[in-house]
Amino acid sequence: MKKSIGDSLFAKGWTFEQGLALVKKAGFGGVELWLGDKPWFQMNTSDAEVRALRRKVEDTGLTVSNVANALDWDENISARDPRIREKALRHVERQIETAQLLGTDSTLVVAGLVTAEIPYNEVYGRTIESLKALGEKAAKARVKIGCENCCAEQRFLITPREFWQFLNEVNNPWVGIHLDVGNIHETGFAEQWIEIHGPRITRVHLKDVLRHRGRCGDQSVYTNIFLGDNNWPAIRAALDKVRYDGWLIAEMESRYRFAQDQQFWDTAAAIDRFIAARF
Amino acid sequence: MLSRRAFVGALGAAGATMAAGVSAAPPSRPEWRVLDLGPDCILRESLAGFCRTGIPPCPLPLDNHERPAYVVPTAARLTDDLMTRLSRHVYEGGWLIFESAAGFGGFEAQREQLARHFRLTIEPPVDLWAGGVSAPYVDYQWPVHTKVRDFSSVVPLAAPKAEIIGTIGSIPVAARLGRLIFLGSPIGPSLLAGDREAYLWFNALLQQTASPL
Repeated sequence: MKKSIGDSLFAKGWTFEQGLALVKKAGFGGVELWLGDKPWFQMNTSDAEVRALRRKVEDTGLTVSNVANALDWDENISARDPRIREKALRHVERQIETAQLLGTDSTLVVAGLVTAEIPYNEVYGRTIESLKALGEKAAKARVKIGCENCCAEQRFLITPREFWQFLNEVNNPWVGIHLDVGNIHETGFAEQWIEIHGPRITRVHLKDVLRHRGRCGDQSVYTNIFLGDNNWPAIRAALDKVRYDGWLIAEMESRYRFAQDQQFWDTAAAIDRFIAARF
Repeated sequence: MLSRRAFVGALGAAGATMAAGVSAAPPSRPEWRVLDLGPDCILRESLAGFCRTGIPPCPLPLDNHERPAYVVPTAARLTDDLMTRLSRHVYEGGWLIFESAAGFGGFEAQREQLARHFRLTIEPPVDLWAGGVSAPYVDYQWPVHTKVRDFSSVVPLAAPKAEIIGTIGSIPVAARLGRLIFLGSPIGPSLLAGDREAYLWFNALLQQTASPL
């Protein structure tokens, strides 16, 4: 397994090159690029500029592990408004295009967003329809679409069997699950999600979660690896069980008020221990 | 051959049933078609939703000789030729469900066309959810009392001649004017999503089209 971390964690004011240098020094092998998050990678970033990003990544001795996006929360493929849905389809297509340019074969999409306004059954149908169309483009590009399990925030596909059935209905081997082991909270167990989805897992996001925190005990809190309630030995064993040997990508909240680079060092060390199964 | 006595008797019986407001023969439902407006259908899922109820799609141009009943799913601006044909269809006694998607574009053009062809006045779209949490239902009062999900951006009506058949709070969003049914909050997406009450309402409407108004 290989270690990666998102450029979304680069502190404000850092340049792309400064961030990459730290990622490399901390011991990561790859970087996850977030379309629409940092100024260097936006929807209007040209193909030539994307190729330049790849050169910078490779010159640092890194690889692009995958292309995520920060746009789905405002422009989702399940949106009612066709104009918004069109934008969402376009940014996912751009992820696929840039994944090719960046030399990676995987993207991350938050597919489907249930809200008080847009009910579950509508989101379900519309998301499948959108993914069927996008899946054809992904297959042509030979780039996988990894639908992330943002269960609590999406209020969608809350259980692993439901997610499995959803992917069955999309019915395209180029559309799988980008599994975030920190997103399951108190509704289940990450290791069981891994077991169920096995070969459909495109990439794995790592973070930990403190279940039932907050003043009223009603909130879960994201935190760094080993600081929360995830059963890390079980997660590690489940990855072995399904023979997952791909990228492990750190994706936590940026909570270091001071010495922000320390999060990269701490995370890299934690992932090393996770890979080595030294608990 | 029918005898004179039998013929006169039949006329009398027909007169009695007509006076009672009942037709002697079971009413026949018109053949419905969903008009595929192509790019002028703003939400393709609405077309798919109506088709899911078993009504076949019908490509343009509209053929006024066939005289089926039409659903126009999520229209914004339509061509004048089509609007003329649709209005002629209604004025000649045909049923028409006009589902507006002017909340998603083309409002001004649709307002002008509806006023000109149907004397129906619509108001600027209302984004129901802009102010936060809303009670997310259209209350239909005809042909059955039921609630169906709103579709976020709705087109209110201001038509003194029309009978309001659906409201969201105090906002009138559905009306009937003779055999024209205007929907300011699209219902096709709810049909596609399998919403029970949307089916209840739509099936009741189809039943109603088999009865004299």
